[in-house]
Amino acid sequence: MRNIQEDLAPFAKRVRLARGWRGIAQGASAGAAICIVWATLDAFRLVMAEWQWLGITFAVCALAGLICGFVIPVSSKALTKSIDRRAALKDRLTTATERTGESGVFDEALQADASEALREVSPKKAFPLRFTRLHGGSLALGALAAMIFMLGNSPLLMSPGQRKERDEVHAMGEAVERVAKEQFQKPDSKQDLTPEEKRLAGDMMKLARELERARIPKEQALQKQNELAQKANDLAKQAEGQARVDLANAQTAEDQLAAAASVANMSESEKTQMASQLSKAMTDLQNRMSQLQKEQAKAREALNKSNLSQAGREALQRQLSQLSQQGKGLSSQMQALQQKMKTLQLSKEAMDVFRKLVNDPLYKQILELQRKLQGSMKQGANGKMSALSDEELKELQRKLEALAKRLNDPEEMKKFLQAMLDAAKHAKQMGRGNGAGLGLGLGSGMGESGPQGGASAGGGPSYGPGAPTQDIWAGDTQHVNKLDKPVENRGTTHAESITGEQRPGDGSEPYVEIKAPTFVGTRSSVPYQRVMPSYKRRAESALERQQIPKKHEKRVKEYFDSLTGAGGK
Amino acid sequence: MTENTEATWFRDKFDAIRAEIQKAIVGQHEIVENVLICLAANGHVLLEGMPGLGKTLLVRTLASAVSVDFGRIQFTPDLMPADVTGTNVLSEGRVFEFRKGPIFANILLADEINRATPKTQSALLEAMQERCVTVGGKRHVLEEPFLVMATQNPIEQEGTYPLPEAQLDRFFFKVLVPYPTKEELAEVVMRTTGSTEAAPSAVASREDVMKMRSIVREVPIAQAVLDYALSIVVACHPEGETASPAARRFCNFGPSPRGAQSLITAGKVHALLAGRFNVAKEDIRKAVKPALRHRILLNFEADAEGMSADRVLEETIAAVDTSDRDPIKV
Repeated sequence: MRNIQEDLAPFAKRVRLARGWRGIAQGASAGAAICIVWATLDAFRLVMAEWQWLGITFAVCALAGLICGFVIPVSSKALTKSIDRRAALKDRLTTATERTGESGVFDEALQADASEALREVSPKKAFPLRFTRLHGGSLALGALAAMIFMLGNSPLLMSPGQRKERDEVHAMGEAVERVAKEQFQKPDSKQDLTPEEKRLAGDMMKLARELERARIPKEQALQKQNELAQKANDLAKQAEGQARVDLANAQTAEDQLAAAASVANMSESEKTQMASQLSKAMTDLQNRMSQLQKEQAKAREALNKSNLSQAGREALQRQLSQLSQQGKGLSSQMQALQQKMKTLQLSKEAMDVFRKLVNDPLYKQILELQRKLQGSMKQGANGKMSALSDEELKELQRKLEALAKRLNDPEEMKKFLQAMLDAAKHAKQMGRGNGAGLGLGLGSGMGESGPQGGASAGGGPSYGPGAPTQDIWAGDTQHVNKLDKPVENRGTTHAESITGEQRPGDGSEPYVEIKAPTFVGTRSSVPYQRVMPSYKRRAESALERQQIPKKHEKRVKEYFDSLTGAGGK
Repeated sequence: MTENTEATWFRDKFDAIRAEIQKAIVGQHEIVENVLICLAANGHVLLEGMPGLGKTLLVRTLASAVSVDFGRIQFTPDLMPADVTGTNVLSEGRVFEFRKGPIFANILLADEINRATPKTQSALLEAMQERCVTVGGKRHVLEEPFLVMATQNPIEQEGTYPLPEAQLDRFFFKVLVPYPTKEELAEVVMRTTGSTEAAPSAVASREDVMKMRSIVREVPIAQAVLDYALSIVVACHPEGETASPAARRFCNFGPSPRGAQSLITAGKVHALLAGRFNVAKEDIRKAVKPALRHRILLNFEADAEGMSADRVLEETIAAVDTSDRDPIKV
C-alpha cells in the first residue's frame, strides 16, 4: 500500500501552481490599483508617470503575486480537506491522514480506500487553472489604468492654447535629447565622461523625457532647462580652468625645455659668463634677504616695546607685513635663479636631447597644435564652439605619444606631454559643456521669446566677473621670458598692462638686474616688433605722468631699451 | 472497492434484517432504516405518525426478524409505573417475589406513549438510560439488547401528556412516519387483503445485534467531521455565539450532549451502510433531523410562523455549511 503522503505530493505541486495563478491575478489587481492612482495623479499633473513604469509596476506586482502564491507552503491538513471537498471523497482523505499509524478495525481498510479514491482523482481536475473573475477584474483594472493614462496624455481633451504649448514643450524635449545625445552619448566620449558630466547627461535625458511627454508647464520647462544650461556652463568653466592650468604647466615645461635648448646652443664662454652673472645675482639676492631679515628682526623688536603708541604700532605692523611680502618675492626669485643655474649644469647628453627635441618637426607640430588649442579655448571662453575638433584633439594625443616614444623622455618632456594630454582632455570636456550649454540655451530660446529669448539670458553661455577675459589669452601670445622677472612655478605668463599707479606704502622694493642673453619664447605668432612700440608708448606715458617712482624710472626706460636692442639682434 | 470483513458482515446483516422487515412493511424505507440504525447504535426510537401507518407492525416485525424477546405496552392514562416495570407480589410461599413487567424484553414497544401520565412515562427514564429498573429498592438489570420503540400520534392531543424534555432526550431518534404513497398503499392493500400474509423469519440473533453495535463503535471519524457535527449542535443553541439565525430566532433551547452523541453514532452507521470506513459530513447531515428534531424546543414565534424543528435544522445546516469553507482558495 502506498503512503497517502506520497500520493498527495502532485496535488501539493498543483496547489502551488494554482495559487501562483491566483496570485498573479491578486498581484495584478494590486498593481493595477497602484497604476490607477498613479495615472490619475499623472493626469492631474501632480506626479510624472511613464507608460513603461506603469507596465513594470503592473508586471512586478503580478510577478510578486505569482511568487507569493507559489512559495507559501501547503499544509497537509488543508490539502486533504480541500481534495475531499473538490473530489467528493467524503472525508476519506482527511480521516485516513489523521488515522495514519493507527491500528483500529477499519484503519487498514480506510487507508487503502483513501489511496484508491485518491488515485482516481486528477490534480488538474481537482485544482484547475481557471480564468476567474479575479483575473478578469485585474485585467479590467489594468485597462482602466491605461485608459486614464492615455486620456491624461491625450491632446483631445486640451484647448488649442494648451495644445500649442504642449507642442512647443515637446519640441523643446526633442532638442534637449538631441543635444544630450550629441554631447554625451557618442561612443568615444562615453568613456571620457566625468561623474558630473554623467549626472548632467542623466538630468538632460530626464528633462527631455518630461518635455517630450509635455507633462510640465512651459515656464517650468524653461526654468529647468536654464538650470541645466547653467550647470553645463559651470562644468565648461571648470574644465576650462583646468585646461588653463594644464596649458600653463605645459608652458612652463616648454619654457624650461626652450631654456635648456638655448643653453645647449651657447658657447662655453657664454655659459661661464652667464653662470658668473647668475652666481652674482644669487649672492646679491642672498645679501638682500639677509638685510631684509635684519629689518624684520628690528621691526619685531620695536613692536615688542610697551611704550609704543597705537599709531606707531600699526605702522610697524604694516612695515612688517611689507617686509614679509618682499621676503616672499626674493625667495621666489632665488628659486628661479637656482633653476637657471641647474639648467647650466646639465650634462652634454641632456643638452643633446634638448637640442634634438626643439629641432624635432613633430615637436614643432605639437607646439602648433598647442597654440591652436589655446586659440580654441579662447573661442570656447567667448561662448563659441571649440575650433579644435575631436579628430584634431585625437591627433594631438597621438602625436604627443609618438614624440614621447621617440625622445629619451627627459623629465621636463614628460611634464610637458602630460600637461598637454590633460589640457586636451579638459578641452574636450569644455567643448562638451559649452555644447550642452549652447544647445540648452538654444532650446530654451524656443517659443514666444524667439531664439534669443529670455531663456538665453540664464541658459546661454553668459560669463560673469570671474570668467576668463581675452586679455589673458592675448598675453600668452606675446610672452617674453625675462630673467629679471621671477618665473612662476606654474608657468603662468599673464601680461599686465602698465598703468603706472604707485603702490601704497613707503617700503623698499626689491629689484634685481641681470645682464644676460634674453630667452625668447618660440610660441608667439605675433611679431615682437609689432607690439613693442605700443608697450613702450604706454610705459613712457606712465613715466610722463610721474606715476612711477623716480628711482625706478631709469630702470623702466632701460628695460624697454634692452628689449628693443634684443629685438634688433 | 476496498473490503473489510467486519463492515461487510455488518452491511449484510443490516440488509438481511431490512429485507425481512420489508416483507411486512411496504415502502417506508427511510423509517425502516432509521429504526435499524437505532437498533445498531444502541438507541431508542420514538415513532411519530398518524394511526394506522404501520408503526406497531414495524416494531413487531423487527422483533421477529431479530429473534429477540419482544414486549409491548399500550400506554393509557390509567397505566401505572408498576404495570411497566413489574412489581413484587406475594407468592404462594408467602414470599415477595418480583414479577417482571413488560419492560423486561429486548425490544419494547411503548405504544402511544403520550397517553400515559408523566408518572408512568417517567418509569421508563431509568430503564432507557441505565438499562435497569429499581423496584422495591432492588435494582433489576435489563438484558441487552434493550431497545424501546415508542409511538405517538400528533393528533388527538386531548387527554394526552406530551413527553417531557428529559424523556424525549433519551430517545436516540425521533422518526416521523409519513403517509404511504399511492403505489405503496396499493401494495399494502394487496398484501393485507389477500389470503396469504407475510411471515418474517428471524435472520439475526441477539448476539448479532450486540456485534453490530460493537462494530459501529469502531468506525473512525476525522476531527474535521466531528467539528462539523458539533458545530451543528452548537449552532442550534439560541444563546450560543455561533447560533444559526434560525435557532436564535425560533428556539428556546438547543440539543443536549446526548444529541451530539446520537449524531455521531448515527453517522457511523450511515458510513458503514454507505460502504465507507469513515464518517463523512454527509452521514452527519443525514442523521441531523432524526437525532435532533426532538431535542430542540421551539418558541412561540416558531409556532406563530409555522416553523417546524426540521426547518430550523435545515437552516442551521445551511448556515454551518456556509461557514465550512474550502481551506485552499485557488
